[in-house]
Amino acid sequence: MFGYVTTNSKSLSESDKKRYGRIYCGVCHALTEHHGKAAKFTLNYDITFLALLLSLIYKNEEIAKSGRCISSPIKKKEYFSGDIYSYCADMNIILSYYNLLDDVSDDGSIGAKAGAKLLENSFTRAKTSHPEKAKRIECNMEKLSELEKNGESNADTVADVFGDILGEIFSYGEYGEKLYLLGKALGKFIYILDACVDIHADLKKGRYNPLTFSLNTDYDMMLASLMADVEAKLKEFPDLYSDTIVKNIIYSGIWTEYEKAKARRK
Amino acid sequence: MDRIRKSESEKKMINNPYAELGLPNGASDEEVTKAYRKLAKKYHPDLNPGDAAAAEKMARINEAYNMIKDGKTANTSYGGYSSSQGSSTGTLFAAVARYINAGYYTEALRILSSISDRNARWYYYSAIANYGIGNSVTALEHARIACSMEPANPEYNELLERIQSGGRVYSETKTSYGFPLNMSPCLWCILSNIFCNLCSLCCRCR
Repeated sequence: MFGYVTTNSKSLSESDKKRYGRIYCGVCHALTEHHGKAAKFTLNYDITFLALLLSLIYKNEEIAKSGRCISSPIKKKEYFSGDIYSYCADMNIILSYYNLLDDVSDDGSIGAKAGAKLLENSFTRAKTSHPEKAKRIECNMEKLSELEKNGESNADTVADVFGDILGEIFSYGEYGEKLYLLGKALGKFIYILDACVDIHADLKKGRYNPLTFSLNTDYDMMLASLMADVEAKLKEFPDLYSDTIVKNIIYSGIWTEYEKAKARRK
Repeated sequence: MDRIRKSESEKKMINNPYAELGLPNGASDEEVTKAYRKLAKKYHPDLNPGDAAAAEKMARINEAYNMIKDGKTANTSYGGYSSSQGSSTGTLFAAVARYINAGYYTEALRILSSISDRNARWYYYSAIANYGIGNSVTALEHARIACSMEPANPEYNELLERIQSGGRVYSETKTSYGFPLNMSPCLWCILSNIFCNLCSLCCRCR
């Protein structure tokens, strides 16, 4: 369900690529610093997107540093650092951990069990830093699991719960309430997008998918409507909506996996 | 989809949803889910593109499933499921319309869920009420069904247009940003993709 919120790097300017890279590396460094080397394997683009948004809204929180890493062992690369990145690292861990637990309860995946075990200490640390938030996310993950297990036929009902989870993740700082609404709209889109990408395989394997209850197999307009809501919530933040990387993601990059899945089906 | 739905307005009402799913009356939730998924695998349009008969069957399966889930089966014996008579459905629709006009969408939906005969007007009201509470996916689906059941109805078409308008405007902007093709490789992109693949071994990013 993660990794949809990517850039279309073909269309990004060189300076935007560098800026995005600094943000991505910023979250990666924060993950390593606060949660150890194993943690950076959980880094996902959706949290990178959050870091991008927060860096645009709360401009004064960043410090540019440079360092080496596995993808750039010789040349030092610049990355951002600060409270935003520590927060994003924590959210990354919490989200990854609950997702692994979900996989374990779904199909007892051994890989997921191992992954969850590796992340356990990091998760405890992150949960201690944000106890109420983690609790609310946990409740929603349980609710989501219940709805999926009971075969909920209303796609909005299920997708809204995932929306609440992402809303909680996005809610940070002074503009937390508006960020919650943005996260909620984006989370709903991601959940439905994931359902669109998976419908074929889910039908064949007899797995839950809310789109089985729809006879229409052309999902473009439905997804566009959901993105229109994300767009509306972004416009509440002039600094966000005017940013070139943000626009690249919400108008192009975010559709990458969906278009790939469509092409595979043809 | 039009052909499917036109025949839907003339379709026989589902008298026994359990039988529709090939189950005995009062089958457990688990059995209902299992039966549903088995039938979906057989009849869903995604696996049977262009097959009108399969789509019609799937529509009945979905309706039967929803009837069971909506709890209309409580204390009801099948083989005599009370079909909503014209006048009582009319009364119920009048109540739905009043609630919708007053903005009480949840109440409207509660009444709608008690109506078993789901014609174009049912889907029209359901679309409005769902749209009102932010259920945009369901609203779009139901508006489409209403339009395909009665393609010439101006009210239904106007509603569908209204529901789709936000998405259309967004889509126009999206088109100007270009088709998201494969990412151009750069060293950290390739390596971060490797990380993502390694992570997907344990995270199973679905």
